[in-house]
Amino acid sequence: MSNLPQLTELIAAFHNALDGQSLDFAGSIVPRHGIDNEVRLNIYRSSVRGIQTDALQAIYPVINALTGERFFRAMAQRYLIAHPSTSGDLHQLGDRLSDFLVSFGPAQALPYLPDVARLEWSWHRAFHAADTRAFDFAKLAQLPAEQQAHIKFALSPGTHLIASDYPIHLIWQANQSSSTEDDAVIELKDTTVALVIFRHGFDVVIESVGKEIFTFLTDVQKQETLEALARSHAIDKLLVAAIECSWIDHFYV
Amino acid sequence: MTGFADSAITPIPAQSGIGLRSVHYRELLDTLPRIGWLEAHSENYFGAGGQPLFYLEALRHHYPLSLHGVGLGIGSPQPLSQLHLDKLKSLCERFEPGLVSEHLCWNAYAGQYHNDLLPLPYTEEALTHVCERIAQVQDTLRRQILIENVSSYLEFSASTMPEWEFLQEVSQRAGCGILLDINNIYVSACNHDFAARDYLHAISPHCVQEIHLAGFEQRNDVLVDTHSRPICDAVWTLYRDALARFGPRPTLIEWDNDIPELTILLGEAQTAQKLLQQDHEQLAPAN
Repeated sequence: MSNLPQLTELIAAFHNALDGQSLDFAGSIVPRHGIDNEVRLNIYRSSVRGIQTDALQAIYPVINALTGERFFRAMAQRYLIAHPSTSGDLHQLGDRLSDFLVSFGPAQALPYLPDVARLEWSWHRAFHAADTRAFDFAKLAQLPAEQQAHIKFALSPGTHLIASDYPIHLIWQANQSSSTEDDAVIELKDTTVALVIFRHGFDVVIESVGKEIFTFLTDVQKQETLEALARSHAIDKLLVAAIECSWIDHFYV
Repeated sequence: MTGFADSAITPIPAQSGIGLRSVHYRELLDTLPRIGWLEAHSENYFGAGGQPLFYLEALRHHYPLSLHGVGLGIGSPQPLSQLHLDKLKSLCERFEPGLVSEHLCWNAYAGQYHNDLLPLPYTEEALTHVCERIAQVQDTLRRQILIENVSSYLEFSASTMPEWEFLQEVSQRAGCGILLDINNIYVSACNHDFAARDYLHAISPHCVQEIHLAGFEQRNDVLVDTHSRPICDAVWTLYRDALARFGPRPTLIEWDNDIPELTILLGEAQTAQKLLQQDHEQLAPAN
């Protein structure tokens, strides 16, 4: 950057002014029209904030519905200060919201929020994930038996696993605009859930599954070999089920 | 004006087009309205798969496509993101857009992105920097790109030339085309007290390959480019002046906030189309 001394200095000052420290930058702006520099800078501040907050709101509509828009937008400001945007692609913004909510004081009254945020981030990633390919059974059958023991399976690109102590899939469902159960009561106690979030065609599906298949998929995600998987799981049944649901879409050696 | 081959590309006609927004995907594909072309925001199709790419692919079969980037930050002092460039390159290879455009702006400093179109100081140093970066993008994509003027709400006292001179110089030195946003010229002219027509007259007709039209809002005596309203009369008038000077050019109706029904957008596109045809009949193209 040293070969751009003036440009770097001016943009650094503009950058700091956007974050609220406008002293160094005020002298770099042409005064005109009697419009105060702070008014001009505030247009940029509110524009940047608006663009980034709208992007978070689009990715986290259920968190927005659960907390209310005013809370959400105030929370988003705090989040963006803690985790500034690091990409020119707004679809990357918000990847750490769940972790942020864990320690965000004003959100402590809703202890399920971080897990709902994890669910929405997984939904967002699944929506944009690569399309699932058909599992190549023929290729698997051609492998010599001694090699088969060492293969590993991969979850399809849109497949995510979430375990939660709260029925976050019901909370998510009750907060969809299509939901008809406005007054549904969701019991929060003793309701641990295991969820698979995956793409079916272009639709994202959230499915509550049994412990057996969830543990199996978790071990697949840990890159355990077929041999190791077979030792601790009813592999025939679970593998076929996972492939049929497109949760597993290929294997590798 | 450039050495880049563009054989397989469907050119964008000198007609009106609309910005492609996800809320209109289904209706567009079902009704296939008569519009000259579509423009999509490049970053909205950076994902690996799914519905956005499906619709872009489907609509690409029916309409010429332009890709318009909002996140590269050509003028930022930090290096361009290689990941961003790679994704843009893949998108261009897959969809073979008729035009590819970026903004004359900066958007990031020291790794932190503002995700907005922020104005640059118009100095010789910034000019050299912007031209080098455009060359990097054009070399990566192996094609010419267009650069669009942005709206601004402040001007740098360090600037040594007006924006129009800077933009024209960028186009000449970097060998890129110009995407002239008529609304942005109008907004900046009101905010900074210059004559919008002076801007038009400083730009060489052969550099202008596309025109943008949009609506703005007024806040605290400053006009703000929100893309949330119909195009105002003064901007339509300035558009006619632009057509008289530049000849018919592909013209895009942009709407990004409070996105209306598709019919409203198509109505605006029809108005632009009428002006394009009138001026086409009355005037010889300027290049």
